[in-house]
Amino acid sequence: MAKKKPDDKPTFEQRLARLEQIVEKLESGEVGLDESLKLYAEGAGLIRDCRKILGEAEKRITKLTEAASGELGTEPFEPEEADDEGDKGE
Amino acid sequence: MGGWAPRALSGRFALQIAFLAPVRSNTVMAAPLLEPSEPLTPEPERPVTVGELTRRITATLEMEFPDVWVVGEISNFNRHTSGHVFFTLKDERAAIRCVLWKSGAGRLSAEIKDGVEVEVRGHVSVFEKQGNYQVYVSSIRPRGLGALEVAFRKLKERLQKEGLFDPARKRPLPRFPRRVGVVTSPTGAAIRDILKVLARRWPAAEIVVAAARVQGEGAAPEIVRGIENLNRLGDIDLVIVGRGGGSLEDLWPFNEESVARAIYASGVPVVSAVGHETDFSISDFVADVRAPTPSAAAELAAPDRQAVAAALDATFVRIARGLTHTLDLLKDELALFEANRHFRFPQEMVLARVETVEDLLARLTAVMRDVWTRLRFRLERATGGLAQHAPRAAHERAVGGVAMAIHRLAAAERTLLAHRWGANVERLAGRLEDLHPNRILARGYSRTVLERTGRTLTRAADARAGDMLQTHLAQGELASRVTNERSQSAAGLRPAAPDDAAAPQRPPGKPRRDKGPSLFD
Repeated sequence: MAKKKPDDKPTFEQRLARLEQIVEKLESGEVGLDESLKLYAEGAGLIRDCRKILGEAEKRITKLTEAASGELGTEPFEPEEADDEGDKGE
Repeated sequence: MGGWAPRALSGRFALQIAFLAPVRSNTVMAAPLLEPSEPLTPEPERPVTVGELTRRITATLEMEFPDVWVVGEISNFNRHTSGHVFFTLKDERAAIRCVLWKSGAGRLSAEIKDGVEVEVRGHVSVFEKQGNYQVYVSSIRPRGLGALEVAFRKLKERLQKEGLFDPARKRPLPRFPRRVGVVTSPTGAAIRDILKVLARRWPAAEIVVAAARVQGEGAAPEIVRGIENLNRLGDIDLVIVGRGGGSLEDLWPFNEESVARAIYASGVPVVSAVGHETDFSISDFVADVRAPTPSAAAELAAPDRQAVAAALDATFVRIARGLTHTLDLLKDELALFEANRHFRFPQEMVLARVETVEDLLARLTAVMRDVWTRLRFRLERATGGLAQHAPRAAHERAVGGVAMAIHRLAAAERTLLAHRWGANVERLAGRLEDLHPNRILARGYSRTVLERTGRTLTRAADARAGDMLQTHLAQGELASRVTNERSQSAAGLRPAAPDDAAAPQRPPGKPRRDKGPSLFD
C-alpha cells in the first residue's frame, strides 16, 4: 500500500513556476501598485521558502524493510565501511 | 558466486577486440618464408645450420598457426620488469609457453594469474634464440566469457525487438526529487558514492535504500524485488539501480532479463548505473537514463543546490527590479500631475475663490446700499405726504410696501447672482474635476493632509506622534492618527529579510498610510 506524504505543500517545481509567473508580470510593468507590491511580497516569500529547502539539513536515509507478511517499512540506514562488491569504487 | 566461470578481465567486452602485438618483427623478418611443402632432405655433406633449421621450423609453425584460440590454465605467470608478460598455458596433457607483449599487457587485469583458466588468442611462433615455440598472445580472457557475451547479445537483441529500449518511452527525471530510491548493496562503494553526492548537491532529498546483493547467484531476484518494493512503497520520485565496477561476471545480474523487465515495469523513472564508464549492461539500455557510474547517477538525479541558489538570487533581482520599474512608471505619472500649477500653488485656487467672494460681496453691498438709499428717499417722501393727509393708515401701508420691496429686491438679487455667477462656479468646479488626480488615486495612491497644518504631507518627518491625518483615497477619506514617527523611507525595496519581504503587504482596508506618499520619495 502506498503511503502518502503528510504535506501537500507545493513542490519546489511548482514554486519555481509561480516565481517565473511573478517575474513576468512584474517585468511587464502592467500591474498596478497594489498588485505589484503583492506580487513582490509573494515572490520574496517563495524565494525564502525555496532557500529554506536548499538549506535543509541532510534528510533521512532509510533502508527499506519487508516483513514476512509482505508489509513494507523503513528503518534508519547507515552505510557500512565493509565492501562486499570487490570493487575499487570509482 | 558460482564457480562455473572464472573472473573476467575487467568486465568489458571492448578488451576482447584483438590488439596485435608486434610479434612478427623478430621472427618472420629474420628468415625468408620457405614453403613447408618442400621437405628438407638429409644431406650428410652439407648439414643445415641451427639457424636455418630454426627458421624453417618458425616458418612452418607460422604458416600452420597464424591465428588460434587456445584454452588452458595459467602457470608460471611472470610480469617482467620490461613490461612483457610470460606464462605457461597447460592442461592435463601438455603445456605451452605464452608471451604477451608490453603493449597488450598494460591492460591486463589482476584477475589473470596462476591457476586461472583462460582463453588466449594469438599465433604460434618460435623464440629462435632458445628454440622455444610459444604462443604470441594478442588477447586473453577468462574462460566462459565468450558464452556470456553471446548471451548478452542475444538478450539485448530480443529485448530491443520487443521495444524495451524504445527511446520514446524514456521518462525525464524530476528536477527536484523529494524521495530517491536506491537499489544496491548496502555495503558497497556505490551506495557511499551516491549518498555523498546527494548530500552535497541536494540534501533536501530523502533516500530510501532497498538493499540487494549486486553480484553472484541470487542477486538478480533481489534487485528485481528492490525495484518492485520501492514502487510499492510509493511516493518515490526516481530509482537508482546499480553498483560499482567489477568483472563482467560481477556485473552480470544487471544483464539478466528479470532485472530488465523490472526496470521496464517501474512506475517511476529508473537511472541505471552499473560499473564504470565503459561498462554497458542490459539495464542501462532499459533504464530511462543511463549513468556511467553511481556517482554520476546521483548527479543526474538531483540538481546542484549552489546553482539553484544562484538562479534564485537572479530571480529575486528580477522581481525587485520589476517592482522598482512599476514604481518608476507610477512616479513619472505622478510627477506630471505634481508639475501642474494647481498642485504646485494650491493657494492660487483659494485666492481665486476669495476674490470671487469678495467681488460678490462688494457688488451686493453696493446694490443694497443703492436700494436702501432709494427706499429711504421714497419712505421719507411718503412720510412727508402722509403727515399732511391720513397719518396712521397711510403710514402703515407705506411701511408694508417698503417691506415688500425689500423682499422682492432680495429675490431679484438672488436670481441675478444665480445667473451671473452660478455658471462661473460650475465651470470652475468642472475644471477642478479635470485636475483631480483620480487616475492616480484609483491606482492606489493617496494624498494625506496633516490636519495641524492643513497641508499635504510629503515627508514623514513633518508629522508628529499624535497628529491627525486626513487621507484622501480614490473613494472617500480616512482619518488616522500618527502613532510613531519613523522617517525611514519606504520598506520593501530592500532584499529580503523575511519580515521585510512581507512589510509592503498592508492588511486590507486598514489605513496604515501614516507615511503617506513616502513610497515615492
